[in-house]
Amino acid sequence: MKLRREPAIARWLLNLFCSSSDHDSVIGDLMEQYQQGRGRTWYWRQAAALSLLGLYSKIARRPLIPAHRFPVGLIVVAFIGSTALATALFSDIGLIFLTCIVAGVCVGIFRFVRGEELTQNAKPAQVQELQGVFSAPSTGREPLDPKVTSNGPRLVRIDSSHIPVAGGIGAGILILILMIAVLHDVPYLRRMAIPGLLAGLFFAACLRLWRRWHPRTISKDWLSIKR
Amino acid sequence: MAASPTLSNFELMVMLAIIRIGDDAYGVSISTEIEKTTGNEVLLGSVYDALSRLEAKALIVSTLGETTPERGGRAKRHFRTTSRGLRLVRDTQRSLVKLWNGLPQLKGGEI
Repeated sequence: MKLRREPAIARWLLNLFCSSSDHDSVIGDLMEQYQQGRGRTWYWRQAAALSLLGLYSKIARRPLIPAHRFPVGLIVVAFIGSTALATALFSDIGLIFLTCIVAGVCVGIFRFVRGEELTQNAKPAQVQELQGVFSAPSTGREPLDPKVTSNGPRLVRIDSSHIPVAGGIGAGILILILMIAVLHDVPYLRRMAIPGLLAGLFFAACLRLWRRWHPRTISKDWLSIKR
Repeated sequence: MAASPTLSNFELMVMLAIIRIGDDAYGVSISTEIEKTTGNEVLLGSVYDALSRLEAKALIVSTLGETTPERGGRAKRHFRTTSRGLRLVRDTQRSLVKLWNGLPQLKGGEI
């Protein structure tokens, strides 16, 4: 029997947001229906809804902002957001603003997805350490079953670099500031933009090298567990 | 005393569809059954969302079935109701019938 090819982008979306084993059956059902003659539009509609639900369940399963950082983070994001919005409303850089927000959200989604991959590929030693964190007396949780952990359980972790929304908005705002500085007549900012960017790249390269020489271990310091 | 779970409208539909279908209840057959009876298109994602909620409330159980090439090698997940689920559906039916009874506005078919 010759199988019909599914819409490639819809398939990619499903792989991106519904990759866990929980979604196997529903994707199988979707494929079965498509092979039995359902249209591309139908497939697209179902895939879009599934992707949204998949994304929502990922976010709902893992609170994105550590509880103890939430108020400060929220205030900072609100402050920067309102400043950026005011700038966009009262000047002619609306389009740049929009582009930057879209870019920032894309960066956020990319980081989130990459964070997901990193979590799923966590080494057993890291898993073991996390197991200790999970079984803290205050949570009343039993330690995870070693059989389960050896198969790579789904870990609950927060790393500030994996915060999709705030991270995305932050990246967007940074790009926005740089673009404003370069494209508009803001002499001080423009003068600072290129050296700032170069310094940032240099700093990022140094960090990367440092991480290569000092492999990081998972500790409670950069983890915030909340379910 | 722990409060007994409640069913939303859609969850009740899914439960009834599972009971109607019997042994072959899986995502596609459940959504087809609901589409047939309500006349509206149903999203597979929302059916599975409701199914996972019902499973978490221990009202249904699922088992993995066979795989086929047209499903891309993915197994079917079959669902059936538990005795607790059946009892809850019966209780819900009883409550709804009580609420429906004696409402003159709902008699005669036309408003």
